[in-house]
Amino acid sequence: MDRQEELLYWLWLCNMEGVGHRTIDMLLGQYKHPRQLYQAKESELSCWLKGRKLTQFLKSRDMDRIKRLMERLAKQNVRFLHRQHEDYPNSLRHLEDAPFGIYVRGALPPKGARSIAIVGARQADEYGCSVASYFARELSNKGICVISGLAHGVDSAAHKGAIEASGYTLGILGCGINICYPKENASLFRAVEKQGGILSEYGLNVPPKAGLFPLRNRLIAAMADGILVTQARERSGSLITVDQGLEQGKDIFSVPGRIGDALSEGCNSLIQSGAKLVTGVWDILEEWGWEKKIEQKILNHSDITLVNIEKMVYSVLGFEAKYIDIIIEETGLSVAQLLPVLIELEQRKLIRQPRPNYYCVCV
Amino acid sequence: MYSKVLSGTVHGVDGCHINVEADVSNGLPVFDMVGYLGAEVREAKERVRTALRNSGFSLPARHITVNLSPANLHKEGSTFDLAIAVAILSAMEMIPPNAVEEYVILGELSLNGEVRPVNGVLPMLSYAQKQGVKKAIVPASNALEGAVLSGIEVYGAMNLSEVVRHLSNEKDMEKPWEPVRINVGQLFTAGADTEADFSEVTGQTFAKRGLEIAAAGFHNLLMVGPPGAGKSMLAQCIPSILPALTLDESIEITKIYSVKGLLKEQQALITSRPFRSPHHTLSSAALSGGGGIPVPGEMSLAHNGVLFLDELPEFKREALEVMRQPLEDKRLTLSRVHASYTFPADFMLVAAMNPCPCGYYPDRRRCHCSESMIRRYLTKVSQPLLDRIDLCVEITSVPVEQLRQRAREETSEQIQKRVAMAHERQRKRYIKEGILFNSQLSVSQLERYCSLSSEEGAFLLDAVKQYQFSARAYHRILRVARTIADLAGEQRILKEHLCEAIAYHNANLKYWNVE
Repeated sequence: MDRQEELLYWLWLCNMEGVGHRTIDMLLGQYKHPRQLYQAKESELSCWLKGRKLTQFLKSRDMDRIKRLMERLAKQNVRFLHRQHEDYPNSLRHLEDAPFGIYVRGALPPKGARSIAIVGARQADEYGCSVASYFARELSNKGICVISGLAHGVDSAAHKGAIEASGYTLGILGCGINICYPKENASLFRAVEKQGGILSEYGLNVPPKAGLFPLRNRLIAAMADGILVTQARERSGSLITVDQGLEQGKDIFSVPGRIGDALSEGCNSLIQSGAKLVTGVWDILEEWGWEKKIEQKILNHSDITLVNIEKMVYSVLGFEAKYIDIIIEETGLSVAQLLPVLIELEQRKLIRQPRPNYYCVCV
Repeated sequence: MYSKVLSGTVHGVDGCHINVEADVSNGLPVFDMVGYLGAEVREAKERVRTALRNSGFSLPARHITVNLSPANLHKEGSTFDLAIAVAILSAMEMIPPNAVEEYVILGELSLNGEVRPVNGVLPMLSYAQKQGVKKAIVPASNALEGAVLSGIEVYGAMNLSEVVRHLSNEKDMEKPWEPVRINVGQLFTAGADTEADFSEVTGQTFAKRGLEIAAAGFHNLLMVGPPGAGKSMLAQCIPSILPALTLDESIEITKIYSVKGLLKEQQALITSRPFRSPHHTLSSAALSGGGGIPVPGEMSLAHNGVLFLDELPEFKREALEVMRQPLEDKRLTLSRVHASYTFPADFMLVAAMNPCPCGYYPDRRRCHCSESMIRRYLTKVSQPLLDRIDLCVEITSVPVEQLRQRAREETSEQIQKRVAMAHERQRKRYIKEGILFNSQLSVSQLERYCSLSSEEGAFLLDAVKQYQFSARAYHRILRVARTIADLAGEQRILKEHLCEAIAYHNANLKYWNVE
């Protein structure tokens, strides 16, 4: 049996409507190989399958349909990898409910490279996003792959950080491989595909559904060596990823937040229950055997030469985006005095405006 | 006998003359009225007949014909009653025919002969004044409107018999008929009677400065902020810092209010800039003006003043889009089958909105709106409309504790002084251009009055590249920078003025960080 034919059988296995993962797992236990399952007689199958399930199963055995599907995948530059394929990621093989097949656009993570999953709230604030992209960028610089879920907020920031540092980044979807969800991230999707890869266990045109995302999170946890949570509420989807990661024995890192900050409650309680508190990339690198060379701070104020008034303005800014009114109040400058300083600092790329007239420092 | 009396009507917000001719001749006893008349003008026949009888004049049993010319112009309204009555009496030779020649006569009659107020007295008299008419008889309660015009004597009439007595030169010794006089200067000294003051608003330094710039240069402004942060409160304060009206501006505004019948009784002029804040259920016709014979809408009523639209995204899309042309042209043309009408609409648009459906974005601790919900909400306001807004400020909520322990804030009076100075500078500079504010500068005028030195020019070009501003945005920034320089008392636009203008120019959706 040649490889192409084998691929078709596996693709059939993954595109069977009305027959669940567990049923297929059980059938595969009986028949060993999808081809044998495909060729099984109806009378034999009736021992295992009953009623509707059986008719659905029989209906799905249509090789023409599978061949057409394969062509469509090829047209959209999607690779299909099944469990026994040599490119199928090893880290997924260990998963108890590993997908029978996965769809990939772009490249898979280089073999042997370490990888970190950076996850967090979709509705993160400037702090959560800045920190996510900072870690992504710095870890990418060390050759670590950044994995995330291509959602809004922290996920997007993490991917962007890795892309900025020209590192490998993998986005794992909770919907069909060709569906861009959320739509606003279309340009990010293209960038991630170009500079890394996109992976999904769902085939073409599977719409995003709430139930699929926790399943996607188990893949994120499985593909990564460690999971970093930058900002998460008490009840957040990111914590599902962490739970999955703990079951799979991954390292859990968490960025602390202020107490009483609803957006960081999840992170803080992770730290309480034993996740490693991280304040910089070295806290992660150390864990993975990098030797710490120099004490490095995220923000190094003393390195930058600024005149007095600029220093004063720079010193009141932090990770969190501050509205110009607050800056006026804290520095005591007038609008007319303050703005030239802010624009000067922005042009020197020391600070940035995530939103108009909100300023935060660049990290 | 034949006689002719001059009366008037309004077309848009301008007056025009109507000749009322009357002829009394032998024949069947009929009262005929001709001249393309609307229903209310045809009804004048009954009012005039009864008013004459109740004032002690009886119509003779002869053929009476009344013609309102020009006969091709459709006539509406009740302005002609008094003129018709006078014309008939004159034709009956109860008033010396030459006595009415130098008058323009306006007013509605009630059945007992009283003269009732009408709309549009000021535009009609203003037209008459330009045509060289020397005297006018108008309803007593409208007399003050006309009195502000120089070169025309305005008499206020209480009833028909009084008018007849006056025209027949009968002296009433007890109550001589004098033209109404008014001291225009005194009207303006009263000042704006606004209750809201900027000292009542705590914090919001950036927003207040934005409002100051907007008021000084008459720039359009958008306020974005969570509910309860003080957007409406700040807007209410705007009238207290606007530059004072000139007499010409004041007459322009009063004309519009006169046509719409919005002047209070015995009010001569509108002496403070209008502040209109229509509710968001308003229709596009109410905003632009409308009707078979169009009357001015909110945009014209806000002429030379402020049009405040609270909860901007809640307005009907088509109502908002109606504002596009007037925001550029400063006037509005409505076309009807029989004629087209032009209304002035040079207003300062102040709009307020929430940044998302719940109102708390970007405070993610409180706002749970999804990115697509926010985007949908923001795009309710179209890009072309946003392009016409010069300044955008965000209002953030001030914690309640801070409200109690703040130092003294600047009062409206202090701000108004700076605004008035900046306004004076603009007035002097543009004295030959026929404009009053920086926001009215055309692109060619921009080159003349807002030239930049090479260093500042390079700085602005860099900023244009960095923030991807459009050409329109570039011009808007220059206009705002000019106003900021005027506020600072500088002849030239400096870098700091440009910086500030750029910071206030953010009304760009792309820039809202919602990709």
